[in-house]
Amino acid sequence: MNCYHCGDTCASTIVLDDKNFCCNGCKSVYEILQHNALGDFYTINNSPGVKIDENQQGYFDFLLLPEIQKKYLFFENETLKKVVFHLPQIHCNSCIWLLENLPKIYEGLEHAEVNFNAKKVQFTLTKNADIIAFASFLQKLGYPPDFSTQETVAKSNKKLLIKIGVAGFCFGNIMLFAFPEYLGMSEDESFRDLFLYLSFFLSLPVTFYSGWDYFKNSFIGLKNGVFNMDLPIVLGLITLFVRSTYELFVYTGQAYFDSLSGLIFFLLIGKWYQDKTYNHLNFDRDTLSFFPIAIQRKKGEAFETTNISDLQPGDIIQVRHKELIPADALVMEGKPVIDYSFVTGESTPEYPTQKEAVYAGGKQMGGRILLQVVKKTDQSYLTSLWNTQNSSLRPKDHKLTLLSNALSKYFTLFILLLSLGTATYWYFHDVNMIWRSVSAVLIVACPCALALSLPFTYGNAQRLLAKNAFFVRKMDLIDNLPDVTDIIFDKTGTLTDTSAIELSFDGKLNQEEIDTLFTATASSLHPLSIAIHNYLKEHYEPQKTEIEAFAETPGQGLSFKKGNLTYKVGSSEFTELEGKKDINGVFVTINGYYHCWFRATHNFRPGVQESIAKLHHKYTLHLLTGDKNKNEAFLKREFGFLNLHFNQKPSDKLAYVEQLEQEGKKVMMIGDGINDAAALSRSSFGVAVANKEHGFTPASDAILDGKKLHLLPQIMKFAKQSKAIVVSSFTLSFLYNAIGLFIAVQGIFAPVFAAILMPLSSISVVLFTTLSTSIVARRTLR
Amino acid sequence: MLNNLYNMEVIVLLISVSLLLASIFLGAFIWAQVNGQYEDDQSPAVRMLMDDEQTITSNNRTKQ
Repeated sequence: MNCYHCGDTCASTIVLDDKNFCCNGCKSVYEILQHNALGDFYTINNSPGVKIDENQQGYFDFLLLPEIQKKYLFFENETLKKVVFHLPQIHCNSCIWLLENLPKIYEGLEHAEVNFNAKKVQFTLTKNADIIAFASFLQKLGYPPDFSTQETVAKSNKKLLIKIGVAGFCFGNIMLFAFPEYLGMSEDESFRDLFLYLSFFLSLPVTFYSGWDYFKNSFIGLKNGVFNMDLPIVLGLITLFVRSTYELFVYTGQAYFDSLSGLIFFLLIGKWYQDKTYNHLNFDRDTLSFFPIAIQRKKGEAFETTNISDLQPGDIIQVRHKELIPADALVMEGKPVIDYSFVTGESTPEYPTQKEAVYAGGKQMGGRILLQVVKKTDQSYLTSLWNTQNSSLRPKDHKLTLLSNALSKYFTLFILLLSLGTATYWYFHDVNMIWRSVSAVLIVACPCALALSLPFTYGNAQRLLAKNAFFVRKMDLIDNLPDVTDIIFDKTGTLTDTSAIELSFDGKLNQEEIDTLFTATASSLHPLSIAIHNYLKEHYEPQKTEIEAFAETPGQGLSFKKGNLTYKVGSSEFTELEGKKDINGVFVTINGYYHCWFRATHNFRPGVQESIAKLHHKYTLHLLTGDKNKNEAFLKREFGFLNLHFNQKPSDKLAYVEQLEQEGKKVMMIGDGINDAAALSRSSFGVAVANKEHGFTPASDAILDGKKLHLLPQIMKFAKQSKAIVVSSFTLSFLYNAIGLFIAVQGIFAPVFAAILMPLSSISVVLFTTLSTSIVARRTLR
Repeated sequence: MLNNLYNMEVIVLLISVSLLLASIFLGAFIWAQVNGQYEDDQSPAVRMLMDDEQTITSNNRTKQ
């Protein structure tokens, strides 16, 4: 059965209007929509809704803080205000329809307009509308606004496209004017001059507008004493322009305006191909963006909303149910139940007492508590771990640039020497040829094809990998993949599928007990509880019944009463069964006595076992987990060949990665929590595993869909093949250059020749790289 | 000679017309970029179909 709202498989007893729902959250959204005649939401697509995760519900008090207001409020007058919210959950047509129809049901909302690609909505609200209530309403519908992302969306991309447009326009027209020349039909002098002058004027915007970045970059490079790839390009551009202009005004000879504009056009297209970004993914989340933006601070007798960056040691703050603790603090009041899974990956909550310390990143699971801040947020344990990381420059981003800079340094020197040699030779043989041959050398040497090899190979590889749910942050990073020697898997969650738990039952149940357990487990969202619920439905014929005094201790178990019997369902610790310690399963006690138990077996994500075995041949594999040794026996049995480490804190993981890197190994870290953030960024290649399409992931070099984890060996292989393609296309373009240079030094290089050789080399390199990566991908990535 | 000059004039006319036309297209492209016409290529298409509520509701009825 699937949830009518979100489409998740569910075995739920929540039924309304003959429709099944997986949880109360989904049902309440359905009710709101149905009640307000927006039920058409469900007719556009099947189950279009977003699963309502009640654990993710946050507070929006911070929206009134002036610095946050600046982020979303962009227009305000006496009657209206316009806000732009980023709603990451927007994913289908129905979302657009629903959000744009909200003004009908929400009083104070005048207009809504969705930008689907950016996942942003512009809302026009009346001046007096309560923005906090509105944000909470959106959250209730399953579209919680996200304020953690920074505005980085590519404005330069727009500029680049205009530059390409201008270059394409001029290139096309110049080609048209140059055509008679190609065909040898240019005897008529008057035509030719007219065409040449027109080409000259058209080449001005191409060179000095579209190509300006190359001039700028090479100049910046020279100023810093670096010979970058743009330098030989600029040398070629300048020579092309100066020689063509000279020929036009002085010599009345042959001009290269066509090659000049074509060159810039192709280079810009390469650049555009390279700048591919994924709008819906965020690779740059640091620890702070996981924290709440604001918190309630005590001021006098009342509480006021305060930006967490303004918290000072000594402040008293209030942390509500399911809020994150923003700073290291002492417990002052209330009953803290702190879930540190966010920080440590360990899911058992802790119960600190009065005056005991709690740490930033923990999530309060009980009621409201009061804390006294000890350290500022940016000095807390978690953020300090992160910051030591960020300050030590991440070398991986620069490797490829360094390589290509080194390459272009020798390349430029070689070209300069070659032109000097050519000039010397012709000085002794035919002085008239110096100008012609030297300029030809500089023109031909322009590494157009060379500059295109890299963006087109890795750009296409990045696209193909993204098709297989492996999103690389920047295409250059693919170059780091083949160097990997060690792969570290973080915790079992990355290897096992928590949603597919297999249960086996031991004990006896009568019908009443079946009904009771069936009803109780329906009320919890814990995966084991859901698993038991499904198990009972599959094997028996349970009925819904009445239970009393239901209580859930998050991550531990359930307790409730049926008649005069007190049930406890949960871990061995929770049910207080001494003999069953460290056994992974769910135990049922009635009135304190053991009754039966469910053995839980973790299932591997499909195909993972085979791919681990495959990876094992080529890489050293490690498994670091924050969990206590609960699953040790199981893991040892299944992954005996791995280097297993248990009880790893984030700092341990970081140290482990650091040690391996210092030993000269290239580590690929695969993790899924913010607690891995430091290790992910320290490793040579950090992969964040996302379980949900729109899930939050820590900063990393690539994001991999958890369902595609078994593709890892193929992905690694494909990266290697891509690198081989880059090398061969480098060779190919060097070959073109060599042929061109051979002709150029002899001074017999005609403009027609340049006009043919340059596009030919560029296009063939582009075709070669894109086609070969696509073919290789079809074979490898399956 | 006269013939040649006449030809020339036609070419000049044609070229100026073609350049002008192409410039108009270039201008349109630049305007569209600056104006953000390409920023969202999904929702306008969907919106166009959805604003008309009557059709959706009648679809709904036929389904049930």
